[in-house]
Amino acid sequence: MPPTCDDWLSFLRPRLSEALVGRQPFERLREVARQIPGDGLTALEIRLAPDREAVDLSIKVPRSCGLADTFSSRPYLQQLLQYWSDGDLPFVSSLWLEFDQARAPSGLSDPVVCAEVERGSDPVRTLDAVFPELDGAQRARTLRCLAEIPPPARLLYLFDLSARGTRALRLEILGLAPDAASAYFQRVAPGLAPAVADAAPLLAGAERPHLSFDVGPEGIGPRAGLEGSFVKGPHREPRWRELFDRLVDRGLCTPEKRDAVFAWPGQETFWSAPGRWPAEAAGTRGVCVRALSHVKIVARADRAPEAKVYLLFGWVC
Amino acid sequence: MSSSEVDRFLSDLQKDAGLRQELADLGQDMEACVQWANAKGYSFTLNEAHEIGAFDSDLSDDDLEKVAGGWCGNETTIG
Repeated sequence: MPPTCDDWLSFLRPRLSEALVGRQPFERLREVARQIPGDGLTALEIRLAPDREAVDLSIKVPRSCGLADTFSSRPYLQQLLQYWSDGDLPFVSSLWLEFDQARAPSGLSDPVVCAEVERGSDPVRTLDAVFPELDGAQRARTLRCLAEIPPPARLLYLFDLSARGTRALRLEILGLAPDAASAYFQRVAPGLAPAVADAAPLLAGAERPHLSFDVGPEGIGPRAGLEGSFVKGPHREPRWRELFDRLVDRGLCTPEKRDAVFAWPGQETFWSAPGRWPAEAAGTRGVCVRALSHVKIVARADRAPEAKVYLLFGWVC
Repeated sequence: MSSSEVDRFLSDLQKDAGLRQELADLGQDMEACVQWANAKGYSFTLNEAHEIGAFDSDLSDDDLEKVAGGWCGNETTIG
């Protein structure tokens, strides 16, 4: 049997501080991870505020993963995964599934589906491929938001949020610097612009800025996500620490969680950890990588911002 | 011959948790690992194991950062 995501999660438990993932959320993650193949990249979405324990798990879906059969009771998702597996999902360069822990107290929840728009392709074609039955007014509103993106920024991801009980879709734009993000919202969703302007300085200097928001049948949703990261890892890039210190200063992250985040990145092989490595499933080959991906600030007009961190792990052969 | 000996060693490690625990107790000295394997009846040298890529080594910082950028549109940066 090939390794499952749970094989790697269990292997990595000693590297994952309980300040970030407590015992109960960890056991919930394992329930999900047992049903997911272990040959893709996995992300843990961790809330950084005190007393915010829920942790969500996302996977980058490998082409040949057999996951379509896992969702045989969900025809739309099963078909999408089958298209992905067969190479029949045009203009999509990667596919992610996000399993929300808070939404499903047990078992495998319906995941949020996230499609990466193929670089250089027309985002409208990806939109139509992923959302073939989009309501006319919602599609028109989405097209207007896409048309307002100033180059070289571009649409990076499209999210299907139907698993969360909404018909809204999420757009995630890559490459809008904070001042450009505020100006963008002034054009497409002025009600969100002040909250975005308030949150943007937290990510000052970040490379690879992402901006996400939801487009529903009735209008733009009440939240925006601002993400930031640095190309170099935290041991080679001091601005990671500055970013987290700003979050701590604003009360959006506890010092314990900040320190635990910086203890996460690294790598192990069978030869560095033969007693723990899941050799019976994974053999002795490859490297298990742990990385700090990015920080997200969720901004809303009606409440204080919330900070999250995304930790990655994956088996590289 | 020695290539198949390395394969036999790796295959036995995959199947035998007791053997893996003994290896863990040796620490991370690959030369000591090969000596231990030879004492157990396997016949290969450290060079022979390296030649067939039996001992995976760590990724470089650059490669690690490519993995870390897997969500972030890692071909594009600003700033």
